[in-house]
Amino acid sequence: MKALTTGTTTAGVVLKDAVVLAADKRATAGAYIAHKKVRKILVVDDHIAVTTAGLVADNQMLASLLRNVAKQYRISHGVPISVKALASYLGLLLNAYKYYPFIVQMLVGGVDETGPHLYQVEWFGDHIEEKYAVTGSGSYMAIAVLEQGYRPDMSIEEAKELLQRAVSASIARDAFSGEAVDIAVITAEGVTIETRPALRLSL
Amino acid sequence: MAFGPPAMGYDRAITVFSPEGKLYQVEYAAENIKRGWTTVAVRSDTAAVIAAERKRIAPLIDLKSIEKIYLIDTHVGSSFAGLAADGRILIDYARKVAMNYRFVYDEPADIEYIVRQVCDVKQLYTQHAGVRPFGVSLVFAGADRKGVHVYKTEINGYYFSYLGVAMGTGESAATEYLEKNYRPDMSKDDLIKLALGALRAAAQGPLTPETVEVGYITADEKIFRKLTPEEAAEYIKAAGVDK
Repeated sequence: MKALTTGTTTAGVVLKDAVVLAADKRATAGAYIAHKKVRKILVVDDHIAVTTAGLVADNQMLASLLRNVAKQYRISHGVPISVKALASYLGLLLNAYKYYPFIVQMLVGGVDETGPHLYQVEWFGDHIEEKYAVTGSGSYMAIAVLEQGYRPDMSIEEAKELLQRAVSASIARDAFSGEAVDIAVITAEGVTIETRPALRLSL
Repeated sequence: MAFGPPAMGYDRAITVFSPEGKLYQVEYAAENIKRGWTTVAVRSDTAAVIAAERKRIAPLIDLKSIEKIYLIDTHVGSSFAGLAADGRILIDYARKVAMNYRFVYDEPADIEYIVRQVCDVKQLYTQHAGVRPFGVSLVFAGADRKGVHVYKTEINGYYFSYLGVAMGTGESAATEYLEKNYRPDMSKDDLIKLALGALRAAAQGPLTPETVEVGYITADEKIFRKLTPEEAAEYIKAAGVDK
């Protein structure tokens, strides 16, 4: 099977009591830059967000569906859905559509009563819990930076800087990633998203 | 009325309300519970216990084949009073619900979720034509992320959470015993003895490991276990219900 090309870089790390997600802001259609201010981090519930890579339509539809699942779960169970449960549900759904698949790669990050969790979910439905993870065409550059700099005990500010550097590394070398870096911090208090410039790396 | 005298009509099809707004078949079904074997469930914040009596229904029956307390999932157990055949079906259904929840969410199901799914079925069987209600009341005991729970389901599909509850022929005697002796700070051992005491209060004679079944779960462990006959014998002795 041909490797999935997604034209994006997203990354995420798990900290002591937070998950930090990051993504670039470029949308491409072939060699054409279709949009420069895309939000690739989507909020699913008060305590969970996803990063999206792949077909925009599939990602938007799935994020919207996950929002419904999370809301319904809250109503019927009286407690927020756990990150694991949502990732498991998403994996099952993707696998059910294996022969007419959603072209997506998602990072599902959130903080529930068992702490912060990050799941990498692939288009056929495999979902694996990770301490740090990347998706998209810029994965190769970003994972190298993450692997060098990640520590489980890093502060939120340190993690934001690391992710900014990781996505910037992809922006510098991957034509399908670009513009700037969105960074989302998820704690027990909720999700906050900010945009940072791509770091200019030395020539 | 072309199909018979009107006065005869209200307790035939369960989907028909009587002029007083009652569904007589549903109420008749509840009679099965009052005639069922006594079952007791109690809980505190740290543990929950189900104790059920079983009888030698034929002199040569293999008592080991009579099971009154059922594992639904690792973290929840159940028992029932009433029509055993109906109970068996709903127990199996509860097991499927718990398994399916694990399949979808990769986590143990909340106790109330399982109870509600079972009660949804019970409710349907008071409303659809051509069916009769389930003649059982099930009791569920389990521990989940929200704590330790005991739920009892009613015939009509309603359910309540309890600190202590009894059903079956000995309901009133056992309930009276529970109300008199229950304390909220009881440990697992206290609760087992309390449940055995309630069964004894409702029973004709002393309890033996052959005629009583006990299941328990603690908030710490979250695994529903049944006492072996040897363990049951010790608790029966400790509770002083062997005479």
